[in-house]
Amino acid sequence: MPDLGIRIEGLRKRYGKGDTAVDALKDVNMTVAPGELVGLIGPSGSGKSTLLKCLGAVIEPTAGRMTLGGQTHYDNGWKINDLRALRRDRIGFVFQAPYLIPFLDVTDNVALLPMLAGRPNGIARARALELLDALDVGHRAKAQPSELSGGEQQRVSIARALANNPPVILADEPTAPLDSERALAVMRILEQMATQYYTAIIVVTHDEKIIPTFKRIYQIRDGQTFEERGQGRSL
Amino acid sequence: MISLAGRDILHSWSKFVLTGIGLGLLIGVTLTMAGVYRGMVDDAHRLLDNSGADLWVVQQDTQGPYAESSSIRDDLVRGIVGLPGVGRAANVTYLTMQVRNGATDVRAMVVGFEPDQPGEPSFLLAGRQVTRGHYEAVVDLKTGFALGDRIRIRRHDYTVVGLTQRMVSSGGDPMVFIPLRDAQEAQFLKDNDAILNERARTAANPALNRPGVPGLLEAIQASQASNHSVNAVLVQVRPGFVAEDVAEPIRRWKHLEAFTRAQMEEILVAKLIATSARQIAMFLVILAVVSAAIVAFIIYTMTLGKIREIAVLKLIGTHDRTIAGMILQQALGLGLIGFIVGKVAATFWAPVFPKYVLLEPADAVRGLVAVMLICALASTLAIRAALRVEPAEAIGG
Amino acid sequence: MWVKVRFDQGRSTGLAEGLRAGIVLRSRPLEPFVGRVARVEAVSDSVTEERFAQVAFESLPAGVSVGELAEVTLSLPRTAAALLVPNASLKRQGDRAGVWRVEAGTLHFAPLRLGQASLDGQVQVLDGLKAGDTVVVFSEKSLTNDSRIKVVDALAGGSP
Repeated sequence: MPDLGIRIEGLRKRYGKGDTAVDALKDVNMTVAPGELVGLIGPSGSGKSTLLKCLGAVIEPTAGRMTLGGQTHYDNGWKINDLRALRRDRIGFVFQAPYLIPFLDVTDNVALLPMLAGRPNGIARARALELLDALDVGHRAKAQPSELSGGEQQRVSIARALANNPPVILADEPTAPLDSERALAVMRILEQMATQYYTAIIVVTHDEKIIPTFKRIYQIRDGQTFEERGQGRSL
Repeated sequence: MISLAGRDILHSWSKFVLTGIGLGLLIGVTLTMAGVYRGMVDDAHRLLDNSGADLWVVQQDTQGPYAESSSIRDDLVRGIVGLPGVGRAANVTYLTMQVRNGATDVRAMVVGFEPDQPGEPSFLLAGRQVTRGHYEAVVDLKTGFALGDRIRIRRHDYTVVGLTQRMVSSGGDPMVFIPLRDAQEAQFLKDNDAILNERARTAANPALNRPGVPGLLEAIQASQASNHSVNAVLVQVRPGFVAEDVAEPIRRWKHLEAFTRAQMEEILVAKLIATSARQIAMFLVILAVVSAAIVAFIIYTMTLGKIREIAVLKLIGTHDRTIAGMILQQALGLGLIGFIVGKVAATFWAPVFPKYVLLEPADAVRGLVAVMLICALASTLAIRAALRVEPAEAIGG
Repeated sequence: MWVKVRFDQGRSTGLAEGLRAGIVLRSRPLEPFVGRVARVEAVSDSVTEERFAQVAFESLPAGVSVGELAEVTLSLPRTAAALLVPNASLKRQGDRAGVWRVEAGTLHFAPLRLGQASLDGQVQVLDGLKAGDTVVVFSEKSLTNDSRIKVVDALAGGSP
């Protein structure tokens, strides 16, 4: 498989030292190809959120290797200096709640990351509009986030995650607060975005409504991941 | 790149503007205080300029006539006129007292002057100079009197015949110019009860009230009722002479004190105003601290209200410097709004202030720089809070 | 009964017997009386620098007491017609008296030779000005050669 998408090898995260040390992650291995949508499922306490934070380059793992879009940014130590830039350019985040910036309008919320990356404002906004249209919220481009419905805000936040064309998107419980119809709609969008923008997407969830839709699932238990075939129910 | 600070300000503009107005009023008070100090220094300079004098001759060992009281005989002026280098010399009296116009009382500095001599008002806004020997007055605008008003000074009424402006004492009291004789009487002659008392005491004194010497008691009582003192002699130096050279012989041979313009300035500005200057300086420091506290508090509160957005921004890849810059810009923006409001407010209420407020552009620039520095400093509290936010907090669970 | 009147020596030019006098008693300030200078005293006061004259009432009013204060104004005979300037315009430069003239927007100090002054503030100009010259009467501060000026109809605080 080409070395794009995201690949995790032997990831370990240890908290504490000596006798009181706890391994939140023992030996995690994951591979997600570009365009693929996988689920990361586990109960609380399983190390799910620790893994998410490592994937998001928010905390430093203890050992292992992480490769993203062909570039190894962690190999038993960070291999790059600027983690913020890594997250900005190479990882897209979708949260449980949309978390849009209230004092920026919809377009600027999406265009913000490209602008921070140095793109000219015009190009960043054009990219934003393109994504908003693809997500069917283009008609709300000039609105304030507070004027949007919950579903519209969620779609805007997905557009924001895609704005810098990252190799991977991490979605943390994106459907938790939604009913089944809306939840499936979000999953449909994510699947469509994965294909359209050639992005690997990892959805962290314990939502029973959407678990059957994944084609591939990583189960995490006691700090270890186990790959499984999903039911792959069509959306 | 867009301005995150600008967008945030626009989004919650009412809170910003209201705080800016409050801050602005504080800054306005600060600018006004600085203006009061400048006004006092300007008052002192004008006082010296308007007197038209190069030398002030006063009682020996005093620092009068403005900073201290000084009393000299009114015939000394003749000896001074004859000295080399003296162009013109004239008696003047100064006394701060209440001047009545109808039902209102105004605190004024009553100046006794000789016509066409140093000490007379040097320019008029309206009316004319005093022509009669008694009971006419030229007043400063700040008294509130108008041409034709009959004002009362001690025992007599005076008609206002001329108006002038910016003629004030070093304390900021407006001047009222009346003929020297009238001023001497107002200053040195006592009221009726005291005169009667004095006469009775003299009459009761057997050494002074001698039946064998007719006319003695009357002569003594007449001399008691006379007023032959003035506060200073104002001297104009002839062209070609240096004031200090003319002052030296006066000091040495005439048993008087003589101050040049430079020395009077030193007395007025360095000594008379010094206490007020210290008070104002303390005020300025306190106001600066309070302003800093307000800015720090407001910016800190606004930042705390954005903690979640800041965590999200950090997580999705915003650098610390961008976030710190946003907070700093907001603090500076608040300071700028405050400064503009303050400058406008100060300009508006300066003319109505009881003391003369002199607002100089240089002070405004200095004030702006100080406000910007204070705001930058005040923002550090909020910036530290923002930098401490963990991006991981945005990821639940 | 006569009124003993004191005149400042510097302003007593023209003091002579027979001059018409206006008399205002302190006790009756609204009732002016008429009189004449009956006698000019030969001895003056060198300390107060005053001359003395005795003024008689044309008709002595009733109820006047000795020792009462009065204000006396003398009318001097008419002088020949001459250029007049208001005394508010008179200024000094060094030891010369004169006025500030405005010519083509710039200020010049014109030294003058002055004559009589009247009680209402007009002063005779014997030499130094021609009819029609523009003279600065009122200003907001003292003037110098370099002062920037703007001519206006009236300054704040009074009628022109």
